Amino acid sequence: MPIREQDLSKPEFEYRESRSLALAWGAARNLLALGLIIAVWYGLVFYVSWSRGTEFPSPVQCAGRLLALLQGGKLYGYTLGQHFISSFLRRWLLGYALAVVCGVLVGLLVGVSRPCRDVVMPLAYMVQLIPGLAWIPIALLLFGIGNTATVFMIFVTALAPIIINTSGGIQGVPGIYLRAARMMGASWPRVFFQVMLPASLPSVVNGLRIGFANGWRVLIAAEMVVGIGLGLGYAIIQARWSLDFEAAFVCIAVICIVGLLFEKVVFAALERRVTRRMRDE
Amino acid sequence: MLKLEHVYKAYVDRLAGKGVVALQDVSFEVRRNEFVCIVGPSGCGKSSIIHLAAGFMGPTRGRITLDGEEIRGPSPDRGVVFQEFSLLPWKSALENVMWGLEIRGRSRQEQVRIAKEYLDLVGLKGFDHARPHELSGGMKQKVAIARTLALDPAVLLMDEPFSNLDEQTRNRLDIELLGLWERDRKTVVFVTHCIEEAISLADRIILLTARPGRIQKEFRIDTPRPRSIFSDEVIRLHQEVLANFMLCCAPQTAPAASDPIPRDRVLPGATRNHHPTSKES
Repeated sequence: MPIREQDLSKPEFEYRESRSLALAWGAARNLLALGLIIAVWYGLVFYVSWSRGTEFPSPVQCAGRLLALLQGGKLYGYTLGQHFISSFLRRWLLGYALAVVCGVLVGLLVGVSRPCRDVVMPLAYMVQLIPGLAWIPIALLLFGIGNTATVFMIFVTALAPIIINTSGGIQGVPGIYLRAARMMGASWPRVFFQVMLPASLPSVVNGLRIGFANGWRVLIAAEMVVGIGLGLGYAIIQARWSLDFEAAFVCIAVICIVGLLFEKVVFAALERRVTRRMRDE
Repeated sequence: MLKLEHVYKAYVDRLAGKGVVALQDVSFEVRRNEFVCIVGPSGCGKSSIIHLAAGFMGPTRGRITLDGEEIRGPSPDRGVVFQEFSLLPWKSALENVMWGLEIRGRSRQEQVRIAKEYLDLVGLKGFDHARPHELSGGMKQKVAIARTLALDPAVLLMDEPFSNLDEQTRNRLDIELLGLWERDRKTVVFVTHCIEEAISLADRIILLTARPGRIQKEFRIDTPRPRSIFSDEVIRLHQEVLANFMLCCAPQTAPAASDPIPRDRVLPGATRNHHPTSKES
């Protein structure tokens, strides 16, 4: 019943909105986005075949190929799952985990110490400005062709935003919380662990999120160049050489879906948790 | 008990290459069980007095002592209620009060017992598990008062605790504060820019001049509490404080230069001067 038809003669009234309807609307809008992507894709399929006479893999073809690959089809000697696991676990997770540990520790140190900040922050901003692929020569010189070079590139591109955001979070802790804690006689470690750390969490999570995206992007690019026979990036570049565009598109789709899942499931949940904790007004 | 001797406080702005004197030769003593209000225009260094007494900073010149002992840094001896909302947003009302007791090294059971006792005392029974964002501004300040009182400080320093609240809430909290104070008559230093609030609360009002803050005049109030704002005594006092306030702090652009107290430009708080028994208006 709409609000205007409620019983307004009393100070309060019961009002329940159908939640499923709101959810359905949200889902419909998300589906519309998916529909748009597919429409644009088909548009490209027709445009490319009409203007250049070349075949452009269509969504249906790609979906078929994805299914075939998921059922155990091999792509350059390995299954799609093996390519994915190699990219995701052996390279990205390792580099990212290293970056999280180092970045958060350095960020905390830099956040509390002015002298450390003056030394480290210019470096962090500089590193952040270097495009991921520009690290390739350095990675190759340091570690040669192989896994370590890609892990290094993920580490170095994820590191700077984590440091910058963690340090920003610590500096952004409202001074009033610190004064209140000191007034009550809190020791420095207590102020750090019970006030500064929890209060800076939203900013830290934001840094982790940016670091994730940076690392994920550079991983694919790095695998294309520092290629070592296994991995989604490697598969894309091989598909490009052998003109198997369908396979390349499937790999790109897998990258998008995994990235989206991480963003919408892992980080969104994490962010909801910490911002709900911090809500002030 | 709390004694300021020839206290000066100067702040410097290193970038601008300038210094300002916030407090100039301020001396006064607050006796045990006395309720002292410090009143002055904004920017006169009222809050500096609280921050100095709390030990968040040291005086540029002069001495501040509590029971003859010089103040070096913050301590739960001198409990502060801040102007800003200072509760940790991720803790419930009860946990915020408990936290101060935890820092004092009380056992878990004692923390719960004392915290509940003080929340009840400030009239927040049943709000134990409410988080700060669920509380109104007045309730947040009440939790802050409970948190500070639970520390059982020798002196209560209140830095414009109700100035972020609307007038009705402020008046109500002033009355409730007096009720709390009557219980054990803790020594209180209460900073405010509101003359009426000071008159309704204080045993003694210390009026500061505009920057640099010096003591303009002291007013002793012996009228028993609660004080009606319509009583002759209060009206006379209000006018007297206001006249002194205007002497030192009236805007430089006051219309009649020959008349130190422009009678046609009455402050909003002064409208109650038109009282039949009031001879001066």
